[in-house]
Amino acid sequence: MANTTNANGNALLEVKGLKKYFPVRKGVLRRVVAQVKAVDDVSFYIEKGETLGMVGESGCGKTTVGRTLLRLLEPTAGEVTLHTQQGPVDLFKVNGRDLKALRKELQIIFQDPYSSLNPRMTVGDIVGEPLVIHRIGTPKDREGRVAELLEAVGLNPQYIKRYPHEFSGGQRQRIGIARALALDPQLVVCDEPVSALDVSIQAQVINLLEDLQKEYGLTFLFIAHDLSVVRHISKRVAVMYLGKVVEMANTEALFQKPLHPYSEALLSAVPVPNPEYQMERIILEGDVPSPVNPPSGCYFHPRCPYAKEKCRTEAPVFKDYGNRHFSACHFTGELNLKSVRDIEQEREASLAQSEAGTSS
Amino acid sequence: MSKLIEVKNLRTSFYTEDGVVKAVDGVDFTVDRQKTLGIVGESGCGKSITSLSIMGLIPVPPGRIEPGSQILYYREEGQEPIDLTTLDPKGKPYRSIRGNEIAMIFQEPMTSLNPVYTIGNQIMEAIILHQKVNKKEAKERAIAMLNAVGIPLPEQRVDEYPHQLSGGMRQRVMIAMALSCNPTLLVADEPTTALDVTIQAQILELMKGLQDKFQMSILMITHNLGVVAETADDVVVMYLGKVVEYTDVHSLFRDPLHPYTQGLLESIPSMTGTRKRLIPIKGMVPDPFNIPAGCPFEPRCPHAMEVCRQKMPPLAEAKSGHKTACWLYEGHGAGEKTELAAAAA
Repeated sequence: MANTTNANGNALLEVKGLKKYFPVRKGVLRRVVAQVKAVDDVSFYIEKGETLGMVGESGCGKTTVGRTLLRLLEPTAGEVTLHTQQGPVDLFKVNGRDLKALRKELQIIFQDPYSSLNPRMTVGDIVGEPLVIHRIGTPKDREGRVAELLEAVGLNPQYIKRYPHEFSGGQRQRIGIARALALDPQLVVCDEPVSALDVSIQAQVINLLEDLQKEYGLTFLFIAHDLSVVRHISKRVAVMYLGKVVEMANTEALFQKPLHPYSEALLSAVPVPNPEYQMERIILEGDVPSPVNPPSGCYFHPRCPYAKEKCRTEAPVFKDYGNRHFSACHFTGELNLKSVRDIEQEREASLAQSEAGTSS
Repeated sequence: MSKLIEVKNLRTSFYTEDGVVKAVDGVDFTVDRQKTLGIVGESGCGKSITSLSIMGLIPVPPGRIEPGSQILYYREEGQEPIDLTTLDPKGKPYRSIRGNEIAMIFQEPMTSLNPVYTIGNQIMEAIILHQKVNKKEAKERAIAMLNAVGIPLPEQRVDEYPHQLSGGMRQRVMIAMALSCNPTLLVADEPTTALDVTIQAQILELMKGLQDKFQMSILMITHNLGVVAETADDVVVMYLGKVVEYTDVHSLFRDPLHPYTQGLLESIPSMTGTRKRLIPIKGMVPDPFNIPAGCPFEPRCPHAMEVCRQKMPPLAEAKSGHKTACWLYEGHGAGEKTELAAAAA
């Protein structure tokens, strides 16, 4: 097991060996015939006040990680330590009243602003509900707090009596953010918070999240599939593939020098909004395999352009390759993987060369 | 370069109980043979309605293509075009074009295939409908098409049902179906939006290869500026039913003229440059029942002037081959232009 504990000692959350399997039941007796290994032995940490981006394609388990951390799903195995002011707590060992108290520290913003707000509740009731559940303040205090929260997320406090359908997608996402902040949490899991929004609105919400993080000292686990958004907002990034974290590093390190072939392919697959820089992509063959029946050895080997015999038989270890840049690949260090910038520079050089060729 | 489709002053409206929505309001563009035209814009800008208007798939009522609109289809080079808006969408002439000469792929590969028919049956349906072949030949054609779109073991896959395929494979099947009659125009409405990036890269690569092989034009409708940059030759930027900018892809990204296009490009985080605060476009898209009187972008525009509130600017050339609909470039002195250039720089 790699040492993924936080060396600086200012981790807010430490996750060790997290597993979440979903049983597949079949037949009259509903016997368990297989397990979907949605999250399979994942370890990482999040430092206080930072944003950890979590990227990966659909079905890689990134959302399940977020939900299991919050105990919205019960874990199969693992240990999650939250460092509260009262000392470290193992989130998976607390129950009942203690768990309810801890939930104040952990909140979530959901992807779809259309289905995550109850259409029959007013905005005031939605944002104020966490306060009611935790019996905080008098009704009058709560109303004041809700108005304050709405203002903080850039909504007019006079909208308190309105219903969700009266708002646009971007405004609804702001309501969801206000609700997540109502209890003054430490950690907010942002599960694809801008994926459902148009580009121009997306930028507004990203800026809002950054402002709120500074103002309230929030720590974010930012789950998304859009790599440019993750690069923009995250201090560190974890890349997931088929239930495992395959690479984790500082954002710049990951984007400039990826160590895992999957990260390399993922980065090169993003279409760049610049027609002059159309680069050679690494096109992965085939689809993501089923997590019910993952491949042997390294889960990525059937699609990996660098796969060797060892990858078919032996699962790689997730370990630190210096500067807390973690990777799970047998050949990390031996492979010379390209970053987006490398490819861009190559392209620029060849453009310059061809221009020089035509002018001479 | 010869034209394939010329859209002139296309206006498509929906007459609902709450009022009239002018979903597409005076759109002009041309799709050239074997070229790709990208239409880019955010939700509600009318890009999908434009494509459905070309396909003759607007639900009537409540929808209506307003009189004066023209969609000219140059079936044969050098001959008189057919105005698709004059044809009955349910009539024989239109049906011989739709799915045959002009084919479409949709965003959601999960819902646009019929779950109770095999994929082979669904591809064969179009082939049998449009071409004089028997069932056996149609099946051979279907297998050949599946092979062309890169589906492994097409002889087996042809008898499978949509639920047995992944999202990327289903989109390949949709493309196979659309190309089965060798269309001259492929209308692709957000073909990769529902797919993961690595699968998106596969599909875009496939479409590029097939465009050369089948010598077809593509109308690529998307909200993703990266996809446009990668695939399109020319680009139309739409906002609230109107074309705000229309030029070739290089000019658009090198020198965006309309404040909306500039805003869109500034709102996307970069994959390589330094990380800096994003500059969003302020406000939000107005209610479609209450479109501003003048330029629809005026309430959100950082350069809005009095004239913008009064009158919609015409789509006109601001630079050679680069059209935009903005008063900053139209009939005003050089002063505003340099001011805008300074602001953009």
